[in-house]
Amino acid sequence: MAVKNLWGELPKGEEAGRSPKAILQEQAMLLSNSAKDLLGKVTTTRNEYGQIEHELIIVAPFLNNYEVGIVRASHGAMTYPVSVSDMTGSDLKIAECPTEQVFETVLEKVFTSKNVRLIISSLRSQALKPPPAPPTGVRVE
Amino acid sequence: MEGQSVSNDTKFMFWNICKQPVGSLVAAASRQYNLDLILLAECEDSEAIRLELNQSTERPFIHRREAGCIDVFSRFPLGSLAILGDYGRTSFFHLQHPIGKDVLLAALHLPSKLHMQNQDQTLNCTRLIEKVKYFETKLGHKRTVVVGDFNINPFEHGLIAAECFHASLSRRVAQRETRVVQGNEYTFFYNPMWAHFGDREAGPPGTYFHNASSSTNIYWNMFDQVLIRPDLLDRFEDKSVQIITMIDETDLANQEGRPIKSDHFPIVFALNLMEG
Repeated sequence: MAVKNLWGELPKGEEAGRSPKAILQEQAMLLSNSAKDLLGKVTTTRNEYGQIEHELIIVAPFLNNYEVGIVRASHGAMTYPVSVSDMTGSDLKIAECPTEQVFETVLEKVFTSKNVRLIISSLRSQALKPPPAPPTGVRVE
Repeated sequence: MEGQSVSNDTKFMFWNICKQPVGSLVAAASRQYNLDLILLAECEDSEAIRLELNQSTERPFIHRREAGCIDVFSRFPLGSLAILGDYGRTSFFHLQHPIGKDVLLAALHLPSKLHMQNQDQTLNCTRLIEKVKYFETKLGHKRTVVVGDFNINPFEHGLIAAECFHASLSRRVAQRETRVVQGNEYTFFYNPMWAHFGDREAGPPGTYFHNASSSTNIYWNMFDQVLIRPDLLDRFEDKSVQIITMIDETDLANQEGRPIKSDHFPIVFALNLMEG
């Protein structure tokens, strides 16, 4: 006798929207693509209280891969609400985001903050730039 | 005898200076203790301190701080102290002694109990130890020192739990190197600060005094600590650890023995990093 499906059609996951990890990865990729001298990466761990934590970290390859943590997002088995900590300041929780939209708003606030601007500009100012090519016809000793 | 190292030891000082203008005291401490590396938390004017430090020395200090919250003044040659990463309130450095062993140095100033609950402080320590392990793997060794204002005491979970700093009060226990808990192996730290708690030692009973109105109140806290991995223990002597209450003729404590120049006392310690 065939087993009757009591589950109906299973949700595919799209209804839950984009996960905090996916959003952070998109932003990390965006940073890497727009600032060629910096890399964005996202690390994910499960903490001792069972929470899943994602950190967006900026890496400066020209400074021996110096890393600076920008933001930490933590959530349980449900992707929302997600709590956000600003790793460039007090490292304390700054917001509890019930939805993807609120999460993006909070991230934008952190990414455009004075601290993050300062970090990115001072890192980029140290990026090794190739020396300008000598004018044609000039012999370089 | 300023700046003349009388031993092979590399000497460190950590001090949460509580935004106070203590440059002359820091400079005096550098002479009195022949310091090689000075780590300051809550330092608002690093340039003034650097100038004070370098006023009369043949071995000038270089200031390092990127996006972290700890200002480091190093007497090692430029390039000997690389900043590996800044994560919130912890910075990781790779100290490459010019003719000695290199160490991973983590310097921190963790959030205070005023802003973070006990369990969040513990959780924070589990994150930090993951970063310690990440950099130990990257550097390929476990010659690691963690120093700073932890804002928790040596007996709290964040410092003693295996999943956290796993810092033992006993050198002999720490020398076992690792312990397996529920199938996972955790490396120890040794925390020499336990021995400085209370009145038995000559120094103060702790590094930070707080008179709380709660029923449990130990008054003296040991928030400022140094933790040493087992791989460095043969290069570290307990007696090198001091809680400083006097620099030259200046008393850092009031009549009740509590810190007055900052709300914390500085700590100094030494490691012999020389080869052979």
